[in-house]
Amino acid sequence: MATVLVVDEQVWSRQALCCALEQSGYHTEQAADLAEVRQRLRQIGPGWRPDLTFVELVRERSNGFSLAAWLQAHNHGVVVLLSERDDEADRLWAQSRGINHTWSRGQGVDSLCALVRSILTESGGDQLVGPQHRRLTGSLS
Amino acid sequence: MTVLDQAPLQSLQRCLDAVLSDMQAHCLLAPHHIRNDRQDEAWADVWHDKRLAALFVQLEAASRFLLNKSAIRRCQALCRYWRVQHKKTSIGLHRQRVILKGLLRGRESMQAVTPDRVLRHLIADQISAAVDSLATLPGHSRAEQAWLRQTLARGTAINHAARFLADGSAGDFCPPPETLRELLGWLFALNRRVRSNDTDMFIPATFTREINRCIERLCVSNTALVAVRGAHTGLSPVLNQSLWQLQLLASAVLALSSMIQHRSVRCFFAQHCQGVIWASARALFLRRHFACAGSGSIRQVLRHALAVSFGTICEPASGTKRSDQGGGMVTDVYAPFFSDVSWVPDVADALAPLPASDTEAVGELLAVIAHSNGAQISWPDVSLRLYRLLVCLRMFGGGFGGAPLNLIQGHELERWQVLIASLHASTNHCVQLSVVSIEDQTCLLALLRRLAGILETGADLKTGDGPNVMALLHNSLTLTARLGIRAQRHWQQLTLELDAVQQDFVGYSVQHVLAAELRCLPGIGAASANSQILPQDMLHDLRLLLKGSRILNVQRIESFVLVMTEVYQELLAHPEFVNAADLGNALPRAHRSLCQMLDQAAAWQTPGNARRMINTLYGCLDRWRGAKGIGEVQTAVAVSERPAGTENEPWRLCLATNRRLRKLLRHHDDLDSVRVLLLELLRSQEDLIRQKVDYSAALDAP
Repeated sequence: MATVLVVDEQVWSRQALCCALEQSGYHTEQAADLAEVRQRLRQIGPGWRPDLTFVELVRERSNGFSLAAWLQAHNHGVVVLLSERDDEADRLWAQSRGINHTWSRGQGVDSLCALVRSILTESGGDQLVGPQHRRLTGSLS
Repeated sequence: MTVLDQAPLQSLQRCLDAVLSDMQAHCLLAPHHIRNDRQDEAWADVWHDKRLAALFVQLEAASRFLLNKSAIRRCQALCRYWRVQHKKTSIGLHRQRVILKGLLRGRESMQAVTPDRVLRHLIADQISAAVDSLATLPGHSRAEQAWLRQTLARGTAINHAARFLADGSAGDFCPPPETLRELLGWLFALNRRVRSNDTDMFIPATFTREINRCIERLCVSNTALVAVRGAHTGLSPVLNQSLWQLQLLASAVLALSSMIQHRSVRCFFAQHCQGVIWASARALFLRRHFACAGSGSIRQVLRHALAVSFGTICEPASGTKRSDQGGGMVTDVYAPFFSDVSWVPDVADALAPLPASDTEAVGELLAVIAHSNGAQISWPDVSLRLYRLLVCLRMFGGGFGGAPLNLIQGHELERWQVLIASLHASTNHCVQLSVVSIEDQTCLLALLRRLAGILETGADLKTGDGPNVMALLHNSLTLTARLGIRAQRHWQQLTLELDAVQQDFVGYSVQHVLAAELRCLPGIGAASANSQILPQDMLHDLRLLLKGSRILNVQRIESFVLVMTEVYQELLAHPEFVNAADLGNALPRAHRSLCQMLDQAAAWQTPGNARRMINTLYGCLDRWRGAKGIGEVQTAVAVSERPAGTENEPWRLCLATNRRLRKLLRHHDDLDSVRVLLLELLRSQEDLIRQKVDYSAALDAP
């Protein structure tokens, strides 16, 4: 079963997202920030990595772009940036940082499941592709 | 000829008299004073005098600004006649008399010419026409050249007419140079000057032309989109551009409408311009957030825009009635677009009970707004809370959290989303930009308090307080549109000033260009082999970033980029510098710092300062140059990044900073270009001095 990690400061927001993903048959993990991600890694085991990671862009502490880029660079699955700002510049900047997928919650649960399916199928279990390579070959959301 | 006001006319006439006395000296007096065989010779001298040619050019230019159309035609016919005759080596007595007679009549016309305020309006009208045509410019170089040629002629006329302004600022109006961007910069500057003292203007008729163009494009695009049922076609950007352009125009007309004397006409324009802005903003929001054509909202935009367009060409005294007639004419032409327009929004379904899961987000927002006042308001906090509320609404709309979507009326939820998204956008302008005034902030705060009032009285939401919500939505969208327009103009102007040569930011926003065009900086944090990056590639990124940070006024990034540029210029000149022991450690950290600052700026957060990294990089440069004997810097003054714990280390850092400041002052002719870095170094020095003072104070403390 594929594992999806959701990194968001807001508890209710990430719980709602995880709930929708679990109903679609995915295993989920949650974290508020990088420290909690590391803590989860320690708890589950050093070799564990999620297949897919959702990161909320707008954060009160730290920075969504930096966090997403770090997770992407350290092979925490394919990273999808969550944003409701609807800004094309955000998508471009994320892309230049190696994050090829952005997604808005307003697109709905069905869209979420379709996106997760599509990314997991595309990645084919090979989550070791680096951001530089992915920028050349990956598709854009 | 209409003489509107005697007082400002006097100053204009003084200018005209000076010009006409020259004309008389050359053309009128000379033939009477000189007799017989010497007359032809004297006439020939006068005829080929360059000053006379210049006077005719001025006459032609100034004649464009007369109120009387027959006088305009007469003066311009005379100038054309003069141009034809001027090519001949000698002309007959009859033709001389024709020209002299025409000049006298020209003088009469010019003496009764427009007073200063009207002249200002006419000049401003011409400038508006020139600037507005920019917005419709597709961005192709060929089109720019054609536009440049047309506008240069207009610019020359404006320049000549500006000589007759009462404040004697004609000397400041230089003719525009060769490029389109310089010309636009000049027009903006001139516009500021001309409008600075203007208190009584009416709406320039030239706006009608631009509005009509937008309407045509909007109709064509919308028809095509409706035909393909909202599919993503190439017409979509055209539609968005037209909506945006209409907002700009409506905003400009709205700004001018306050100067209309007739109250009914003023109200008419204000109502419809606000209607255009509101409906356009709504249509854009719908298209952006829901990817639908929103044909209903576009019809509303059209209706308001057509009312403004027809209103501007009718007589002020009968503006309202004519507009109604115009509406009838419009309906005939654009009947398909008005088949199901609802003028007044249906307020009955305007209310949406907020989902229960929003309680936390609403609570946070209310708390932040409650603690805000005019003097102490944390816009980043408000922005974050609004964003979270928007997230909540989007999740609810998207069917997350087990919320049954079908229980919520789509339109009601959509209105709430648009309201919160627009307030969020306005708040971000307050976070990001220096163009937001105190009045705007006060206005936004008032809107937020109204929102808080509506949210707090949840009972009203359920029992129905539609007008309040709709009015709030209307005001919020208007404010968002206004701030967006101002920010756009502000950036456009700064781009013209700061990006005149390379033109990196033509046609796109600064954020877009930086996000798309930076080649190696964004990926450098993740890349393992930094040594593969060529200095020239990095210098390209740094140059672009420097310009972008100046336009967006992100001073911390600008100062850091200046130092990074110096390092990479040194690397380009001396590739062996990369092998310097301390640079190998410092440069990757500098890259990471810069990337982090860019991430923060991209996420609309305030970037952290990089004073420590700046000192470190300067230290590397100092040591390298000292070792190589480059410049005046001695190895002794090179300092480490961190104080080593010795008592005099801050003093050494201070001394080094002081030397850098002096060096920057000595070596840069254009101090403005390094102003931000100088300030950052001064702040750094101030921090160090304060550390020392605190240390001393601690020692003296009992």
